[in-house]
Amino acid sequence: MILWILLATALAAFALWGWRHTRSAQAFFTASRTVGPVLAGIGGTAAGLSAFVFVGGPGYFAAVGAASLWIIFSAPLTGALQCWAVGERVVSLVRRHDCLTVPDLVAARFGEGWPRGLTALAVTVGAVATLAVQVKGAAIAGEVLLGVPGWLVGGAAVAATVLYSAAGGMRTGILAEAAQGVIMAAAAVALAVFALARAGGPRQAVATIAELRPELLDPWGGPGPTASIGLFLLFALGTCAQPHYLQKFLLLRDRESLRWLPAVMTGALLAVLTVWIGVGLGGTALWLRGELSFHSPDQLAPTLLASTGSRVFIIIAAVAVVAAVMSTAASLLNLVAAAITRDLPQALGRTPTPSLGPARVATLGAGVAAAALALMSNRPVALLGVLGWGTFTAALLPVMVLGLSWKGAARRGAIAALAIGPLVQLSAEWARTTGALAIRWEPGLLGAAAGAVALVVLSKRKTGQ
Amino acid sequence: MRRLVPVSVLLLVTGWLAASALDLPRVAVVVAVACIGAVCVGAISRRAPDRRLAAALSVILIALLAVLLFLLGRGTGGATGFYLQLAFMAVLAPIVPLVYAVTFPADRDAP
Repeated sequence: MILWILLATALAAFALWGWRHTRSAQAFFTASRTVGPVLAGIGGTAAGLSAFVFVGGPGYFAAVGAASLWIIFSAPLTGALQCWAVGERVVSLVRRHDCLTVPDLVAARFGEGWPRGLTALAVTVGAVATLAVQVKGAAIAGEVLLGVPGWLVGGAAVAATVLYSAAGGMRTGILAEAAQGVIMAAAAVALAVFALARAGGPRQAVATIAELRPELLDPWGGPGPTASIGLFLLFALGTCAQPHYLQKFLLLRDRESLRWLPAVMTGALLAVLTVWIGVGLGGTALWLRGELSFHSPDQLAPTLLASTGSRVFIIIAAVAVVAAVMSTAASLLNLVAAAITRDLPQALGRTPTPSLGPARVATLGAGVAAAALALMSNRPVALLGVLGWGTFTAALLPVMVLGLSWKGAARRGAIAALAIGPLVQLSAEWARTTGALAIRWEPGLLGAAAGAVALVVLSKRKTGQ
Repeated sequence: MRRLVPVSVLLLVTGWLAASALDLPRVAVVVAVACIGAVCVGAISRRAPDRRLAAALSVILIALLAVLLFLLGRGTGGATGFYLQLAFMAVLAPIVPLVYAVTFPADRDAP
């Protein structure tokens, strides 16, 4: 009880500090562009890695085995890929146009109105869905690990994040994310080592799986090779279209900060991903030996930890999941607040209010909407995570990668890409759920492909005219 | 560049659609690696005439293509594929960010 009171006091003090030091839109949405590569790299990685990694990842390993690694196989590439494909262009646009938000970047390149409005809409919808993943992940971890109602844990994590995000925006958000990133990395390594040790070491764990369920060691098992490559590509290119990743480029203090950003991001990312491999491998081996049982793959990690009876590991795991939830939620809440209070009004021709009051209220509203969506949805965490990632990829990949770099890209092509991409992705997602579309069709990539074709065809026509 | 981009995009999309529709994993691998290379073209052109990035990326992408095709070729069974996945990630993890840092253009060279 004393611990909770101390935590709540520290949180309130942090929020108060943020409130006092955040007086402008630039401070609220971009932390006044004072962030260096270490803070941006660790914070960005923490924001990108959510409960999906701690809860969904090991669970997905138990479900499809080594094939689940295609989601994280691109991890060594993604830090540099983001900087090559979008980061350098974004930093250049920020310098010239003083952009504060992701829709600002699109508007700077393609003009006001529809490009800004559609980008803001995609950010809002995708961010609320991704926020819901956070709440759901916290709820599952809370139920199994702490034995308290899931809605209570999920609600408390979101409420705490809303408090400091509404007060200080990204000025408090990036500091909290970086601290949470360090906690996540340390906890992930500890949990991975623990899970593998409990399974008798990595070799023993692999031997167990090879003996009892060898198909789980097949890299092309589960959804099959074509679908697996689709997942690999979705998560490799998708990093260039996630607004909570792109947002970190808006926070950088100078262009030189880009140089070491991929190194920090990659190091932090791989440290946290050890939980996917370690807990996935160790937990699956224990489950196959009959030493663990669960109803849904998402319960693998929480069940493994709960089964130890070790209070220390349970607390480490709970803290790591809550840190993952809060770090991702802070960025997403800020993005939704920016989209609702700045970009959508600007897209409709109105001047956004300079006051931070509406942004703070929108932050609260986004938190409530995400919590409601999470508690009503029955989809597993991993699938909700892929859905959110896919929506951002389908909507934003063509305009952010192709649109920002290709001089021939025209406004109407960008508008078409922003509209068609998510429509195709959501339709394909629905068709796959009903069985009308084979599993090897990756909806996020299909949407991005449709958007890219729309962008080049309509831009080409315009150029031709 | 202005004309090359639409053609490349249409070729990559067609390749991807064909791979998905006909369930052709080798084509999917080639297209996936080509897509990763394609999104880096802008960065390569920003660094011209310095060709270090183009050379380093070519080596990384060829290695990626070789590993993916090897994994496809050897089929199922055993833990070799799983170990190869992990080993490739471990090898690339320090190399790619280092390539980025070393080939990052100084501010005076930036467009």
